[in-house]
Amino acid sequence: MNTALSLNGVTKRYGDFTAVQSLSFEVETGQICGFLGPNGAGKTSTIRMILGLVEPTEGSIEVLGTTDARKVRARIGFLPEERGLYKRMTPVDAIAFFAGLKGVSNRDARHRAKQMLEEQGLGAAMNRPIKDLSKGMSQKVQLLSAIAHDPELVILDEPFSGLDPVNQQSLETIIRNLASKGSTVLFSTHVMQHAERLCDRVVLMARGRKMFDGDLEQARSHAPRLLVLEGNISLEAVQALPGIERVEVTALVGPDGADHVQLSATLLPGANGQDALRTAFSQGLDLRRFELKEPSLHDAFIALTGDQI
Amino acid sequence: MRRLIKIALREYISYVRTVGFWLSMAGLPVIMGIAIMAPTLIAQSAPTPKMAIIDLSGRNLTPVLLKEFEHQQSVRIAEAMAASATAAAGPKASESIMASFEAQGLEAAQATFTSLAPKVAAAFKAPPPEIQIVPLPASLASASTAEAAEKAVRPYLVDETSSGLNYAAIITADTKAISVDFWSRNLGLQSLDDRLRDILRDEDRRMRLTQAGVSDALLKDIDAAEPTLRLRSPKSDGDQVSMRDRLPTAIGFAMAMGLWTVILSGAGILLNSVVEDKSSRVLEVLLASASTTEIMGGKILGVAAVTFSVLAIWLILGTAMLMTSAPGLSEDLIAILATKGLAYYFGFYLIGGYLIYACVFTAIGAFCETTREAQTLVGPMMLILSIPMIFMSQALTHPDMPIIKILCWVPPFTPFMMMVRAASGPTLLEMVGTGLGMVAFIALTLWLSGKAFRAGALSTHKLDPKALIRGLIGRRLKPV
Repeated sequence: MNTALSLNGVTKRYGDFTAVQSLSFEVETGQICGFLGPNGAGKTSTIRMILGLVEPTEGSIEVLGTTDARKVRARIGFLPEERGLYKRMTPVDAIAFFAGLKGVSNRDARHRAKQMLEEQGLGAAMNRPIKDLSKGMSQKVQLLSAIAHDPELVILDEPFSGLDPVNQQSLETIIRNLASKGSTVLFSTHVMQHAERLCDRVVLMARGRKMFDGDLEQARSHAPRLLVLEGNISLEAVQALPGIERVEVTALVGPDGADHVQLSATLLPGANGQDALRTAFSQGLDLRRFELKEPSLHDAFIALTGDQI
Repeated sequence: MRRLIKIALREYISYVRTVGFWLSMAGLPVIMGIAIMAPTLIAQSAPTPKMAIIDLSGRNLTPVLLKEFEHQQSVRIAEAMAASATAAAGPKASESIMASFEAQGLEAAQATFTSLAPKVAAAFKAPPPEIQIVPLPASLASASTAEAAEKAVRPYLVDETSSGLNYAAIITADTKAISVDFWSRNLGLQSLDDRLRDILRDEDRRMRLTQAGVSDALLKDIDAAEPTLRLRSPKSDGDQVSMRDRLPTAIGFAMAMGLWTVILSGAGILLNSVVEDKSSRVLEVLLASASTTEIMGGKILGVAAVTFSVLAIWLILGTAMLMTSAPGLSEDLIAILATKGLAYYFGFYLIGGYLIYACVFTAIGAFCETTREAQTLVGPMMLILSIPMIFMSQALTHPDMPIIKILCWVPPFTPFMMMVRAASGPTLLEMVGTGLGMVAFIALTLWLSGKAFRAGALSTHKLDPKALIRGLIGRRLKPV
């Protein structure tokens, strides 16, 4: 597999402030990579460096085989965090204009713009000024402007922000379609659920540093698995089960209060939840319900970043 | 280059599609037309003010005043004929008419006018008299003292409709001097009172000299023996400095004023355009699609096309109007523009000046999220730009003043100051030196503003002078 994007020891300082510190990661061609982190993690600064809008203070970046992304602008699609379109333009004109800047002929650009707008259910609005469109519609138009030239690398900075659930779903479909056509997608977000549904790999950032880089399974493996147990059981009895690191009461669930509790037991790394359950049954613990919970990306993120957020 | 053109085209179309563009296109000719026609229309439509003369001096001054006002009206008619002839047949026709008038009077001037511009002469309408001296109403005629006259005059000046009287002059005299109480309905400044004083002073002087034994013949000789003054200059085409010799300087001044207006309008449009793109976040998208040079260049070119389109249409309309209404003057203007090279200088300084200020205003705009922010930075710029405005009018009369010459060498002022001086024949060193200085300054401005534009376009916080300086001195990205 070819590498579409590669960052090697990239640092960006603005005066005394370090926005990005020694960042290295790679994205293979055709992958969907989630660039995750809370606000201020250095995602936008990194994206601007990838695009060649600002130079790294240290390190190097290779985009689509070149160290200067400005040379391959026409092969990159970019959706900035803060959306911007010419308000008096129509969607067709706006998409055609930005596709034109990326080298698509005017005729093709207009044809493609109309086709994409129809596909996205914006056919009726294609000749209305953008200022008259809803926020969701405008954001869709902006996204279409970023991808109308069939870019090889698509960089989306917080693409889901401000979208309603229906449009979020629609955007996820667009991203999957881009990847299925062979485009590489890098998108930043601080909402883990989107990344969980879409990404082949994730890069987790906090305070300008990379906290993790790998696929979703690897990310989740950094978070502890939980064994949730409900019944007339004591904290001490569960703590004594094999492979249990610690236990805490998460709820009082029974009608008789303290006699009927929900406990959340954190498993030791590599521990098998089955062993703990088998021992519990063999010891005759009064269990009404049990559940082995796999960690989410959010759990992984919390575990990986710790106090870095 | 393709991207630059595309951005320029979008910029151009977005402005041409606005109502404001067409309003400004039509607005100036309309305003100019009104400004040109207004004085004539006002003069033609306003009734001639009426003045009563109550002469209590015992010197029979009313006929003297009547005669002098008649003469002044003749001068006004002759000057109006000269002005009309200038438009139709050029400045020389005007000089001929005035020469005829001074030598032989109004009829001769009329004959010259008819021979030089027959069509215009046939349609010529003499300006109405500036003042009409009316017979005294009975109550005023019977007044025998200044106090009585004053008492009688007041009611006439309070209510215009009742009397139709605008002015009244109560003239008294003692053995030493003539006194005039000049009554006016209006409190505003009057030019009439000065003229009245001059006429009466001359008459008083004549009477005293006559009483002292000076003959009328000698007085006429003294009046006639005015020193002859001929204005000459090596820069003049003829024996004397004529109106035609002065015309190039006036045209140069007008062109410099036009230059200032056009450049500032263009730079202002650019500033607004960049601020709008910055505030709507389009600028960041553009930066990911094109280089700083292409974006700046495209915007500057697009707005230049808008500005020059407006200018070209104004020029075409103006030329058409001039050729229709003043063919004589238009011939002279075209000859001056061609022979003195003013048209070429205008083109050179328009491009140079526009580039300087367009770059600066574009860079400023990139740092501003709102028009208010932009105004705080444009304010000082406008102060700097007012400097050439102050000195341009001085350059009209004193083009070789040291301060004017020095300002010509200050690149941001070169386009305006040199445009005014172009007609007065600056030295080759000045022309070439200031031109090269301006070109070098444009290169420097382009380089610095390019860096500032990039820094500003990506800045998300409020305008920070430190960020502006960092943008200027920071590492430069190689243009791609």
